[in-house]
Amino acid sequence: MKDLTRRRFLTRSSVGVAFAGAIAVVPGITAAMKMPGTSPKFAAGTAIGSGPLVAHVRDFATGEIAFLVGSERLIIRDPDLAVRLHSAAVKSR
Amino acid sequence: MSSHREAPAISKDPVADSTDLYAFVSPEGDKTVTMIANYVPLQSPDGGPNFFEFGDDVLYAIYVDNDGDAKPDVTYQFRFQTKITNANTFLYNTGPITSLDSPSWNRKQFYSVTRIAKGERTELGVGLPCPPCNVGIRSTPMPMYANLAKSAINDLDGGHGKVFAGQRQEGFYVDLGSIFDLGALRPFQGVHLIPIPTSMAGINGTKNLNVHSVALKVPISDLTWDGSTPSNQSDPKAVIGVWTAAYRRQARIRNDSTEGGDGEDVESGPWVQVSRLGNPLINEVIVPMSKKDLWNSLPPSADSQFLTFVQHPELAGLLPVLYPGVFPHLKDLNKDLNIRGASRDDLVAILMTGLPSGIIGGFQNFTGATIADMLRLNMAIGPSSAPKILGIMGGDLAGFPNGRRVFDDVVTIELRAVAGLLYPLINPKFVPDAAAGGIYDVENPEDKTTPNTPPVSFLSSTPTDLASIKFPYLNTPFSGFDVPA
Repeated sequence: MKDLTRRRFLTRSSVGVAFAGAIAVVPGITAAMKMPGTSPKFAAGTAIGSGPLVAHVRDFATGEIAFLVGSERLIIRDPDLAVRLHSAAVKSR
Repeated sequence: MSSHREAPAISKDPVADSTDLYAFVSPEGDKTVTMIANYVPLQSPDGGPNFFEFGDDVLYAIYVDNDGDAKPDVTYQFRFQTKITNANTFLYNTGPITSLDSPSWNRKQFYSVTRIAKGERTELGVGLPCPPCNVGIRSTPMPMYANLAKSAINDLDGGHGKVFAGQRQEGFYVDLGSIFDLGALRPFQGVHLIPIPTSMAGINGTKNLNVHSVALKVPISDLTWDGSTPSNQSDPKAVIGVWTAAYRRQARIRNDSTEGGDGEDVESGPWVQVSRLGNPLINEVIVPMSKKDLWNSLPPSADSQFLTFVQHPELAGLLPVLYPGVFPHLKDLNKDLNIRGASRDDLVAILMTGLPSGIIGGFQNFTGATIADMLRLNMAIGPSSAPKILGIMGGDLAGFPNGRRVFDDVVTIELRAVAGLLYPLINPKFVPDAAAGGIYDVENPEDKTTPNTPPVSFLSSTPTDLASIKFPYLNTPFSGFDVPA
């Protein structure tokens, strides 16, 4: 990915980001799923289950991200979060 | 094959690959229906030391539609869990396996059964044991093994019937080696486009193989929408549609031990369908290669997009080409349908909607106009006292395509149907080719030297022992030690 510019990266259709650690609770994502097109509103204490969480950035252009947690798939659109995930991935290299 | 390795993706995932689905009114006359979903195809019985098993990471399901919309009204889910007894041996067993809790059996598998109906989930069984695979005369000697497997038949909680999950003998029979060699049928290979002069009997390519079965025997009243047990075959409530499907989690991240992982892969997300089966041979022979994986990922309620492949089956066009001069009427029918823009509505009725009343006397398995591949069973038609492997085509209303019994010769039935044998049901003026009523694959239904009952290649003994075959109706699996025989 050394030759991958930010612009090219943002136009890629699909990138998966996996959170390696297991997390017990992911607050707010259930609420986000019910409001497609909005940013997740992290309501403290809103539990959606336990186990690993996988975030799949399906479209950087729209910020569409699928969170896979437990037996659920929660879809949000948050371009800022998509960019931050990308930045975090780049910084971690 | 019926559905063994029938699509590119699932052929690489045998643990989730559905091979055959059976649904029939149980022969004991106890007002129950038996449904068997087979998975893990083409098992060579000597396949150790890691013998075959279900997938702990797969969700298996059997679905019943009882109102004709091709959506599940009653669902049975199966989840498996493998437990290792001795972590310090490479062996499947360290001595004879004399019981389901034998400490000598190192790799046991347990499962749960959940019924979902009218929005309610009910656990019908938890921690139910599977029997071991039939390893051989030292590990699983007969007749002890047969009794061991029998002890793995469990009653479901709440009077919801019986269940069995484990290795069984393959019941499906087909001449694999010939049929996929440019559609050749050994008994008729002398008239094939690429002829081999000497015709010969078909060879059952699955004869010495095992499979893994999930089998349910449940009260008919558990399957109808109003809890009734219909006795009139014309009653719409008597007809159910059945299919099976397997699922995997949407995400799987493989463990990388070099970064300190714990050895376990990470799985997350919803269950995603990877395999489906209703009628035999649909995804195998009807759906084109480019759409087989798509078909496996969709429910029956989405099948209208595949209707054109049933209306204009590729195989119907191939038969007159592969067997020049043998199917002149079928050739003319194909041409006529193309000119008129018409379709094979006989096959649509048999496979995608069920047969309405008035087509075959005393029979219907119509579920309405919804186009869907489901095995349709009229539960008001009792078991046959003289079963025919050709099912309805042989005058036996209790057989395929009224559901499907283990011994039904679905390859020959569907070959003959595609060849036009049943087209007169919708167009009485059509005269089928003589060959349409004569072709067969492995068993010759018209050969009087072969009893016109379930073939010996399926049953362990003679066909007269049919009445002695009990749930789960598939025979004791072949022993690894004895194969190849």
